[in-house]
Formats: sequence, structure tokens, C-alpha cells
Amino acid sequence: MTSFTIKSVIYLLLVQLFTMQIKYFLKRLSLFLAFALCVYVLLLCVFSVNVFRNKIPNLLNIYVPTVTEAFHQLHSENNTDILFIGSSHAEFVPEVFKKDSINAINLSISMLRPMITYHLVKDEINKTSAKVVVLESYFTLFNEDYEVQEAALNILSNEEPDANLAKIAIITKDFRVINSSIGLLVYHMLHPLSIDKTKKTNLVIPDTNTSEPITFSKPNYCTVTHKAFVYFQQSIDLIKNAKKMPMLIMAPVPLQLIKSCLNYSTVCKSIDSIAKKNGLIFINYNDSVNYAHLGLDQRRSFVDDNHLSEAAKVKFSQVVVQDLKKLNVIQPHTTQ
Amino acid sequence: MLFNSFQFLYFFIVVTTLYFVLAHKYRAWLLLAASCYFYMVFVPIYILILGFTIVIDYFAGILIENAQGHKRKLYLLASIIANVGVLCVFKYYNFFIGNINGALHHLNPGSSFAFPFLAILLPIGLSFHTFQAMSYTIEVYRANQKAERNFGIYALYVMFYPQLVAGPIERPQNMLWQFKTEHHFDYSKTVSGLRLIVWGIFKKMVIADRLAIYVNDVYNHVHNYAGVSLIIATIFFSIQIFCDFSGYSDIAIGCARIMGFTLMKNFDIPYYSKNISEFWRRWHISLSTWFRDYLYFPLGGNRVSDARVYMNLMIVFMVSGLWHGANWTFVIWGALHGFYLVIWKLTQGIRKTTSTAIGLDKAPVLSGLLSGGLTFIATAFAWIFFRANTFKDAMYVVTHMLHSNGKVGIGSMTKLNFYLAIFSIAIMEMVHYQQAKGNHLTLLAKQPTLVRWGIYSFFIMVIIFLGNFGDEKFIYFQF
Repeated sequence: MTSFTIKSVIYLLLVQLFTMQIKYFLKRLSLFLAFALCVYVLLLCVFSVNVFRNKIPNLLNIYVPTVTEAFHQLHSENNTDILFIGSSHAEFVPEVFKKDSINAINLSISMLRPMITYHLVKDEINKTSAKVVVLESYFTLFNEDYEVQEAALNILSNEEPDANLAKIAIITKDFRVINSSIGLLVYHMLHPLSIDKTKKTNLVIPDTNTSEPITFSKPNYCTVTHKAFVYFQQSIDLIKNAKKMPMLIMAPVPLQLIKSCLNYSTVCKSIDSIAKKNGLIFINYNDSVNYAHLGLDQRRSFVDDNHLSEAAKVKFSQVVVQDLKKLNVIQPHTTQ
Repeated sequence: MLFNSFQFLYFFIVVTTLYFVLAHKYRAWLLLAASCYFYMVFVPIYILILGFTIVIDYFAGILIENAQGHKRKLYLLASIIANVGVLCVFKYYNFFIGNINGALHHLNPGSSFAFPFLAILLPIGLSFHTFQAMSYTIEVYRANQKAERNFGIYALYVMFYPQLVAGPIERPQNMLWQFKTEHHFDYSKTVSGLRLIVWGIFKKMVIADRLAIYVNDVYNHVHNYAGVSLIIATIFFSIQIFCDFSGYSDIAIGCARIMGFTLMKNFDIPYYSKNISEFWRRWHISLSTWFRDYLYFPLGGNRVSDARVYMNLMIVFMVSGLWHGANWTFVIWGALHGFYLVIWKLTQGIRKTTSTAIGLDKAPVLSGLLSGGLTFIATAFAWIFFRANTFKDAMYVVTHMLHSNGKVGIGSMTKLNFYLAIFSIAIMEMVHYQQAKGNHLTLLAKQPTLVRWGIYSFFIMVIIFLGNFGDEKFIYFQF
């Protein structure tokens, strides 16, 4: 009875909607959109071939692919111990891990937020031999509302086009990403495997310039969305389903930045509760004890208001190695 | 929710579809609910402020209509005080307190006493909807409009989402009846509305947001620049603010038109004005007519002595400056425009004599170019104070515009972006030229379907390939 009523209401609404004028409009609109789509695809083909062949950056809202070494390693190496996934704050130095005979890959991608992380994990988790996957959990990135295009473009540039990548492009709702992904598709069709796989990303942050003081934004609430935590949980589930051990780490930032995020402790509690719920290890290096252990200098250890200097990154990675060993999370390769 | 976002696209499609699906009696409620949602996406709690002014003005309108004699004035006054009070608290409190604290410190430098500042965000579009609400009670008081008894309709008049956050500031005579009229889907109105929306998005995302890269770079670091760079940034800002604001108005008018509503024209190619008076008849028309009807005329308008007229003009434009923002730079911007108008009125005779003497009146094209150019220079000069972050910065720009010993260049804007900006402005001016001749739509209608579709596709492709998708807010949202 209920379904009959709903169907009748929908039918009546549709009858109301499809008056002659609307019908005519929808017909014309469909024809126009088909026409415009042809123009769009045609222009995109012409532009993208030129843009990618000549590697002209950011021309006509089409971005040249940036291929990272980490992706290349991830796809080619089969003895990875630990994989780090996170934003530019995932400042783990694989070379430091290597000294302790631990094979680490750091897949840090600028502005990576949980929504894109989920799609990245979905695409990569079965391609890696890593037994431990660390999700870096930076407290200001638990939202989905803006600036996701940079991370999306980075991922799109490093993968063969597939349905998951198409999803990434669409969820960004950004024409720069959509144009670039269609452009990449066209490029891949015309020039298979011709991208320089050894090119590094521009994620390397220069050393600190101590002559210029670091400025911090005014205290405000960090935007946090429920959806972001849902995606975060889904990423954890994917890692678990792949029979790998997920783990959460929050990298250190300047104390002033923590103070400027008025809901910092609430965000940390949310991450902690996810960790507890899933039985995961969560190390917050911004906790007073851990922070003190790192011995960071507020003036010299940071290059800007939220990134570690090169020297501090090494120091931080050394501490992470020791902590992971203490926690028995990873065992060095004895054969190496 | 920005007009230039996918979120708004979904919202608009859903609301418009439901609007035409629903029976007429439910449509106002749908629009009201949609408008509430639209506003609450920004800062939800501020809907209470809007609700407060709506309730006050709704009852004020009825009380004014029912009352006799001086009581009518009393109710109007109460309503104006409530509206202006909200503006004072949320927009001007910190400005006034800052000035009072500054004066106290100046009088008694040793004292550490200071009035506290309020840590509040300015509710989005506050000045727009407050002025729209005030126009209702004033019109009821003047008996030009009957008090609206249907609370939902009145609330919708203040909250109608296409013009809620940045105008056009409507009048009750133009809007209230439209909410009661049943609008049927109209093919030609829909096409014309869509055309306006695309044109508005083109102006905002392709021109304004691209120019913003250069303007922001220069105006946020004025001391790094001098000479030509400052001149280019000022000209670019003049175009940016026009494209940004008129782009918003076009989208608002287009969205309303699709649903069958007619909003007032807000811009009429203002930089084609041949004098400053004409400029104000073409720029932000809904605000300038608001000030004309509710402030300039009550002050005496043109029916007082010349000296009073000049004083009235200065008052109106300084208040208009303050309306834009709680900063002395906006007051100076307004004062400059008032001053321009006074000078224009004072020199009317001399200009006519000189023009005849040198034969300019016989060369209308040259005369038009000259007066149009001078008007543009005057308005662009005033924009310096509007855009500069501080008065000091504005003075730096003014005093260093003609120097050549500073950094000259296009700053963080790439050469490609610079050329694309010029290309987009050229396209806009081609359209404006036809618009000024009054035949751009006729010209378009004469073309075969494929050519028309080609033109529409061209603009859509320009938006997709050259648009700035960086979530740039509309400048007038802050007012």
C-alpha cells in the first residue's frame, strides 16, 4: 500500500514536471549538452596532448603529471616492511629506517585528506608487500571541503587510469582535476608508459631560514567533519582486510600551531577513540612526553608554521624507529 | 555555499525542480526552507540574527499600518533602531571601540584602560538584508506598501536565497507580489536566466579571480611595488570588483529568472559612464537608489540650497562608504565619490562653456572618450582606498603610483595568466560594446542554432579551461 502511494505521488509529480514547455526545454538542453560535451572532449584532446608532450605546467586548467619516486618504489619493490601514508606532515625519512635494516616507503602527498586517502589505500594496499601501514593523522586535515585537488592530482599522475581514479577525479568536484584526469587518459592512450618514472615530487621542503620569523594564524577552530572520520575508518578497514597492520601516528608541529587550533584536544580524542575501537597503536608526537623526547627547538626545527626542517625530520624518524622497535611493531631484516 | 561551487549547482537544480513540481501554495515554504538552508551553510547560528530582524520588522510593519499619528513614526523608529542596532553590534562595534580606545590612549597615553573588543564574525550579507528589511518598514510607513500579514511571505522577502547575501537590495513593491503569483515554467525565461548565469560565472571565475592573483599580490605587499605595477593593480582591481560583484548579481538575477522572478538590474556597464553622476546610476543600482530614496531625499535632496545639496551628497556617500565596511578607508572612498559629485555639479557651467569654446561639443566621439576616460580614472583612483588594507597602504599607493624606482612586474601572476586576463577582458568588452548599442541579445537571437550553441559552448569552455577553481569568495560577501 505504502509503495503504491509513493509510486502514485512520484507519477503525479512527474506528470506535473513534464509539461510541454519543460519537455521542450529538456530536449533542447540535452542536445546542447551533447554538443558542448563533444566540444569539450575535442578541446581536451588537443590541449592535453600539447600540454603533456611539452610539459607546460598549469596551462588551461590541465596539470602535467608529477610522478613520485615513492609510487615507483611501491609498485616495484617486494620487500617493504612499513608504508607511511599521509600528508606533507608524514615527515618520515626512509633512509633513516634503512640504516636500521627496515625497508620503508613514504607515500606522503601534499594536502592528503581522509577522503582521498581512502581511494589511495583502495588502489595501493594490494600492490605493496608492507606488513605495517602507518596512517599519519594530522589534526587539521580531518575535513573534505577544500584543497583536495592537489593530492588527487598527485595520485592521478602516478596510476594507470581506472574506475577508482575516475572516482577520485569526480569526488574532488574540481575541473582542474577532471580536465587533467581526462587529459591523462588521452595521453596514456597515445603515449603508453612514456612518463619519466624517476622524477621526484616537489614535496621536499627546504631547510629552515632562521632569519625570518614564523608567523601563525589567529586561534580558530579546526574544521572537522564526520565524513572525514568515516573515510578514515574505511581506510583502516581496507588495511585490515588486506591482512596488514594499520597504525596511527601524528607528526610533531610547532607548539604555537597546536595552541592556534582551539579544538585540538577534541580532534586528538576522536583519533584516539578510533584507535582504541580498532585496537590500533596511536602515537601522538605532539603529546607533552613524546614532544619533550624529540627535543625540538621551536625556532630552528621548523621551516614554516607546520613542517619540520630537514634535520628535525631525521631526528623525528630516528625516534620513530626506536619507538616502533620498542613496541615490537617492526623487526629489522637480519639478512641485510 | 558559493554561487561558483558544485554544491550550489546541486542545490539550485533540486530547489528549482521541486519548485515547479510543487503546487503553488507550497512553493513559498519551499523557497523559505531552501533560503534558510542556503544561509545556514555559512554560519548556522547567524540565522537567529536574521530571524530577529525578520520578526521585529514583520510586527513593525503591521503596527505601523494599524497605528495613527505619531505612533506610526515611533514604530518605524523602533524598527530602524533594531536594524541599525544589529548592524552596529555585529559590524561597527569593534570599529567604534577601536577608535574610542585610540582616542583615549591619545588623551591619556599612560593609561592602560581600553574597552574590550567583541570576538565575533560578521554575519554574511548583513548589510544587504538589513537594508532590504528597512526598505519594507519605510515603504509601509510611507503607505507605498501594505503590511504583509503572511509571515512566511515576509520572511521570504528578506531571505530569498538568490539575493540574500549580496543583493540586489530589493523593494517590497517589486518582490512581495511576486511571491504570491504563480509562476509557470517559461522556456525563454529559463534560457535567458541560464545565459545570465554563465555570463556571471565567466566574469567571476575567469576575469575577477584571475585579476585577483595580481591585485592581491600587489595590494597585500604594496611596499614591494611602485609605478606601473601599482597603476596596473589599481586598474585591474577596478575591473575585478566590477566582474566580481556584477557577476554575482547576474547569477542571482539569472537564478531568480528561471523560477519566474524578476529582480532589479544592479549594474549597467558602469565604466561606460561619461560622468560620475551617470556612474552612480549604473553602479550597484539597488544600493544607490536605496540611499537616494531613504537618505538623500529625506535630507532634502535637490530641493534645498546648493550648499545643503553638496553637504547632503557628502553625507550620503560617506554613509555609503561606511555601509561597505567598518574602516576609515571605506569612508574615504565614499567621501571621494561625494567630492567628485560636488565638483561635477559645481563645474557644470564651466565645462559646458569650455567644451563649446574648444569645439568639443562638435566631436561627440572624442568628447565621450575624454569624459568616459576621466570618469574611469576618477573611480579607479577612489578604488585605491576601497582595496587598500590600511589608510597607510592607500597613501603609499597614491604617492608611489608615478614613481619608477620600485619593483615593476606582474608579481606572482605568470605571463600566461596576464595575457589570459587581457584576452578575457577583451571578450567582455566586445559583449559590453554590443550591450551599449542595445543589440547584443537581438544579434544573438538572429544567429542560427548552431552558431548560438557555439557561442554558449565557447563561454562554458572558457570557464572550464580558464576559470579559477580556487573557491574564491565574492568580494561583496564581506559587506
